[in-house]
Amino acid sequence: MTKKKLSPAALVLLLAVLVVLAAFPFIFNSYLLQVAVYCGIYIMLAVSLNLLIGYTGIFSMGHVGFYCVGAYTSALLATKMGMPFIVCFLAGGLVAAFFGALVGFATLRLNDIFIAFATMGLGEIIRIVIQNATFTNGALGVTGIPMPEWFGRPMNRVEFYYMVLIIVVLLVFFTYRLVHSNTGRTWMTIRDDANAAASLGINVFRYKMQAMVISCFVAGLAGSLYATFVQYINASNFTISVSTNIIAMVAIGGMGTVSGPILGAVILQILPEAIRFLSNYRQLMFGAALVISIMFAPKGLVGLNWKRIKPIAKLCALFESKSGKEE
Amino acid sequence: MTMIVQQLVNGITQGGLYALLAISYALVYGVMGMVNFSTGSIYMLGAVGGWLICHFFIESFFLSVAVGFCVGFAVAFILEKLAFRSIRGASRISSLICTIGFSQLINELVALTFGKATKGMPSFFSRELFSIAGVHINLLQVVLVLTVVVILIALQILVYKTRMGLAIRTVSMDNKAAGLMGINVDQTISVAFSLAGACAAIAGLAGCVYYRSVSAYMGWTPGIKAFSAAVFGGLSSMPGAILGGYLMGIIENFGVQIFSTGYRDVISFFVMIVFLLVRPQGLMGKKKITKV
Amino acid sequence: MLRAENIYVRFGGLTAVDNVSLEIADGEIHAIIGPNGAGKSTFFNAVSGINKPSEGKIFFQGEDITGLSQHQVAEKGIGRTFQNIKLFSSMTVLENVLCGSHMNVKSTLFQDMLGTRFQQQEEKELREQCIELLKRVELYDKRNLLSKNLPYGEQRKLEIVRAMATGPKLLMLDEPAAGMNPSETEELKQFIKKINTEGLTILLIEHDVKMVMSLADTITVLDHGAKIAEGSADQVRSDPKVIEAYLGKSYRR
Repeated sequence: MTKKKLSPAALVLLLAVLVVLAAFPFIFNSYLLQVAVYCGIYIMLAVSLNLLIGYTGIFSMGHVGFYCVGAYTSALLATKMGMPFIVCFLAGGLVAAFFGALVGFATLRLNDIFIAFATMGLGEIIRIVIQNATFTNGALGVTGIPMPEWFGRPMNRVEFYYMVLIIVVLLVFFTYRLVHSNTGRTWMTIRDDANAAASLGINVFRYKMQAMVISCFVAGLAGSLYATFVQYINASNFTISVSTNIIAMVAIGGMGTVSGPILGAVILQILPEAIRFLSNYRQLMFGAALVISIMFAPKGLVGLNWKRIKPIAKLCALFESKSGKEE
Repeated sequence: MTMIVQQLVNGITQGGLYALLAISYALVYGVMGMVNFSTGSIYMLGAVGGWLICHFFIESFFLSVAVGFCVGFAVAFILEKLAFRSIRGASRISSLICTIGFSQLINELVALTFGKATKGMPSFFSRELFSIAGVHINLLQVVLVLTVVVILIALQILVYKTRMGLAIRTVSMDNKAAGLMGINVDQTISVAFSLAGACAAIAGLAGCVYYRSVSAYMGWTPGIKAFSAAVFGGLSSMPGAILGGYLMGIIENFGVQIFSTGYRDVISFFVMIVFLLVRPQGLMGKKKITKV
Repeated sequence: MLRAENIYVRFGGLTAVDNVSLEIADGEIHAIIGPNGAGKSTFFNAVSGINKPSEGKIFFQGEDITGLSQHQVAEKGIGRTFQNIKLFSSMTVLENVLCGSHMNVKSTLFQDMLGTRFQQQEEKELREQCIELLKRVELYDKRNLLSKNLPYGEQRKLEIVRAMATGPKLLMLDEPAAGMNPSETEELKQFIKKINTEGLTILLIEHDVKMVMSLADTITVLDHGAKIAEGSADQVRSDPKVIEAYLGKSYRR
């Protein structure tokens, strides 16, 4: 991955996307705004899980557990202790990261398959405990989670959308920087061959833990945003199928790429909304995405050879002729 | 005392189902080095097959078992031929993702055609056989335990006494070497995988008769619990899978007595995690020497 | 440089390394030879921290390194390669070498995340150093190839270069010539000689007896986990025990 300078054409494209996203609330109705916020939250989940699955080679099936911990921490702090949003938000991330560290400490020495099932088990344990414990209101869930306040009034949904947008853009930027730095490179060595990595003086366990904590932190933040946005959470929002859905997003978009999980999250979130007929077959679609990604597109949509299709090749040629030389 | 014996009986009945499913995992893991996450879905398909027979044809336990066997065998055979053969070279994580996908596909397809609602099974052998000092044992429990035991014995004979079984064991040890020795690896894997499917489906059928209910999502939890049981016994060992399955059933039933039923599903996860951390090779597995 | 004292490695009932002592002098090329299953690789792994010795002590530059984990051993200054090549297959040649210089990186997680000027500067310098190294070993032209697409001989070479990038004092090569044709082996031999004269102490396991005899200053012969001979090429060549266990009659003069 030699460092590439963004070509002017790609830069223009990126700016155009950002402008559309910024103008989103003025173009579309509030229902689509809600879809967009969910999209943002799922981008956070997919990007953070990709750090584990795609970059470090840790197959976590318990991502939903940390999302859940983040959501409940934030919700309980807001409703029971009346904390301001920013405190709930950060606490959601930190507590999830703390749980991530605990889970990581217990499981990261295991081999890949066992990590998958151990994390899944722990994720389920978290959910079941929350469902049965009294301090979480058990099966009733937490209601009346307030929207963040600013300027002495609660945020409206449009403002919340912008907040999510900014957080997602920051997250993607930081992720991009990380995976193109020594840290990201080190994670990838562990994914490719942990023994070889260790022979180069890389503390494999430490770097795995690092990836785990960061990933869980982001999942916790996403949980906090979710809880605040829907204002009501229940343990049944956090079953394993949420984990497999996030995995589907990462896999269909492209594991180990920055843009893949974003693409995957957007596509799988929007498709059932855009095509009415699909909305009844949501889970079926996620299942299909998992199967297709492994059998027909192991590198995901991002890794497909799109240039094989003639019109796309022409379009690419157009971009390339305009763009400057790559370093 | 009564309670203990009663839970032991319940545990053994339930453990039999886990043992069948755990064997299914162990067979597939042995020959392919893959964890087949869709085992739970095949469990469900076996149950649905049995329900269809009872509902539309004739209420017969043994016919249902036979149908369950065929459904599981056929579905697994097709899955292996169409899908898992082509991804055999992929990493274990990729193949796990693929089986998760198939698991969801199967569950959802059944939910669409069969309906999402839980359906009831007719009751078989509900007569109480005997009850000593407050311990109730009905005929169904005995039939189920016997069915499971017969199948387990048949499987042991097949794996340890026949040519096919020898081939399966050889491929489990080293499929490259087995291929060089003239064993048809593809065929062996196909047979083992289909047998694993048949075991899972029979477990499903027994499960739906025992709990007297069928639903599209019924395979999820037993599938995961049985994986815990397989890990408990040692993922690559068949006797370990049987032992793990029965122990898991017993532990779960005692656990429910000690904690509350709300935590039923936590118990097997807990056992699995403890074992993964303390003794990852399981009760009966052998520790592997890392070769670099 | 490295001193191993009475090393035993046992797996269950099997003693893979049986009371092996060994001393490697500064600046020499030391070879370990022996038939398959003689415990060569196991001994290697015991030194580099993959499986801990059941008994015995290992000293590196006078410091006890017995039982340290792999990355700690690497930090002390022991680099190694593997019998079956372990390159980072999804990365390019240059990136593989960059990973080798991991221990020299000072920028922290947060600097990486923010892409601070210090981090950018450091990354640039590392890249330049690695490119320098690649130029020296004539892999520069292939720096942007994926490592898995290199020809076999160059994959072996790249693995050595990657280990060199860690800045080791002792380099351990596990069968570097395995699977190479004679011309590749000859090239490798020259390469090892070159890096040795540049100041690296080298411990190697090798099957190619001809290569070992002409390359190594000291040779240790293992059989069934135990050391049966040690000395210069001539001494080992004429040792009756070695001839019986390993070299075969054709080596007798």
